[in-house]
This record gives sequence, structure tokens and C-alpha cells, in this order.
Amino acid sequence: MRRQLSSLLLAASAATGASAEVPVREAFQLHCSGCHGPEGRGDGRMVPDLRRLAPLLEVEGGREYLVRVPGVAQAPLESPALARLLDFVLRELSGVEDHEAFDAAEVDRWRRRPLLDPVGARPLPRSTPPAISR
Amino acid sequence: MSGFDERFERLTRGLARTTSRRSLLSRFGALLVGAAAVPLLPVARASAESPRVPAPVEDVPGDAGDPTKCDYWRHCAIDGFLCACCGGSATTCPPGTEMSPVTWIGTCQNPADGKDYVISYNDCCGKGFCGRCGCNRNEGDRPEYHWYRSNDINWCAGAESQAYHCSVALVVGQATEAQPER
Repeated sequence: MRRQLSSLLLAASAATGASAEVPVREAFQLHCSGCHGPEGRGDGRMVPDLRRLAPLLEVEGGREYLVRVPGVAQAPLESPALARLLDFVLRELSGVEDHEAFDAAEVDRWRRRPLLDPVGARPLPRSTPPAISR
Repeated sequence: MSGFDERFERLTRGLARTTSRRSLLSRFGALLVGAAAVPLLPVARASAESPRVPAPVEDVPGDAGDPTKCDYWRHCAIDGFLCACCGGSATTCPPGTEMSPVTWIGTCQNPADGKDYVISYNDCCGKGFCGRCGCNRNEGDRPEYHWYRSNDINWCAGAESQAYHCSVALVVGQATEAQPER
């Protein structure tokens, strides 16, 4: 139902002449892969591994955390495109098949409250603690 | 100190006298020394765990131009020294440097086919400034508070060494529209 609705919305935006959304893979390349790498594996130090997000969905506050981290909340994308990008990362990189798809309204609501201390607010410890050098 | 030396000499000479060349003890010792030497072998550690840097697309139609020139189309948002002038190429780092796995990404239009391509600007790190072919074009560059759209950042922060040497411009895919928003 949600998917039908979003394709309806897409069709509507195309009909009104709004610019079409870039394909989600391209959005990943442009907005995520610079830091997280082409496969989302991070750098093992400062940049988190996008292949290991599944446990976050299991804990309280994890789902909103994913939207409120700086790289997501501040991405120069409209919320519908951002919702699809989040779904893509969870599905294709973290192998989460059964999560409830993000919808634009939800993403819009959470990204308006960006985290002031993303590391401190993390609902789960990182598998490898970040090495603070420099 | 000399007492230590004498004791150690006695021990090793004694070992040499009482063990054969083929004994388990000497072979096991060789294994221990050999195992300790394995991590010293010169392997490229940055690329040890499959791609942390993007695989460049090589078959870009009509990819004409001179990668040692600042006006080469892929350099539309570069800020630094061109690796093609520094012993590397537009897509590879010079010997002795490591490609930063963290980078910034934008698009450039290829004049040959009029299409936009996604470009990854990776810095090559581990040596001091190359100093040749400085190029600063900044199309779509944003202030540093927009860090993933800024070419003024030393992206070697993500590499083993933070010494900046030069920059490459990898085509990582085709873009449906020019980014960042101009």
C-alpha cells in the first residue's frame, strides 16, 4: 500500500513538472559513498559500517537514530528520496528484508530533530569502539 | 650484562651441541621466527580488505582530453595537484602513496557525450605536496560546513598518513543530473 502510494506521489510530482528523483543507487553514490565507501563498509575507525545496521532496528530509539544522525538528517535530499535511500541501505547493505519501509512523513519528522551528540546518543555500542586519534 | 651474555652463549652452544639440525626444536624455532616475519612483508594494507575505494568505470564514451591539464573535464571540481603530473594518473596514485578511502563526490559533464558522470575525488596520501599541476576549479564546491561537498578538506584524514600529495578523479558511474545543485 505504502509503495503504491509513493509511486502515486512520484507520478504526481512528475505530472506537475517537479524534477524527477535520481535513482537510489546514484543517490547512495553521491550522498553516502564518499565517506562510507562504495560498499558502505566504513573505514573501521571513524566512519560507521553500513552493513551492520540491523541490530539498531531491534532497540528502542534505533529507527529514529538512523534518521537523526548528521549524515542522514543533513543530506541534501527531499524526505521522500531520503526515505527510499534509507530503505536501500538497510535492504542492500545490511540485508534487512523485513523492516517497515520508511515513509517521507516519518523521515521528515525525525530529521527536523538532528542529534546534538550522535556518538553519545547511540542506542547500541559500536562493535569496534572508535579510536580517537588526532 | 656480560654474565647474561655468557649464560646465553652457553645455552645456545649447548643447544647446538645437543640437538640435531633436523630436530623438532630447531624446526619449531625457525617456524616461530618465520611467523614473526610474515607481517613485515610489503603488502598494500589499504586495499587488503576488498574495495574501500570505488572501482573506476573505464569505458567512458569519448573520454578525450589530457589528464595532466586542469581543464580536463573530470577535473571540474578538483582542488589540488593532479596525480597525472606526479607519477600517477588521473585514476591511480603515484608509487609510495595510498589512496584515501574517504573522499568527496560530485559530478562533471563529459563534453564528448554531453552526459554527467559521478566523480570521486580521492586524495593520494603519504608524501608531501607534489607541487606540480596545481588545479583549483571548484564547480559545485561548497563551504566546509557542508563537508561532503567541500574540496578544501584534506581527505587524507581517512588514510594512514595525513600528508597530502595529489588528487585523482575517478568516474564511478553515470549521473542522471548534475550534482551538487548548481
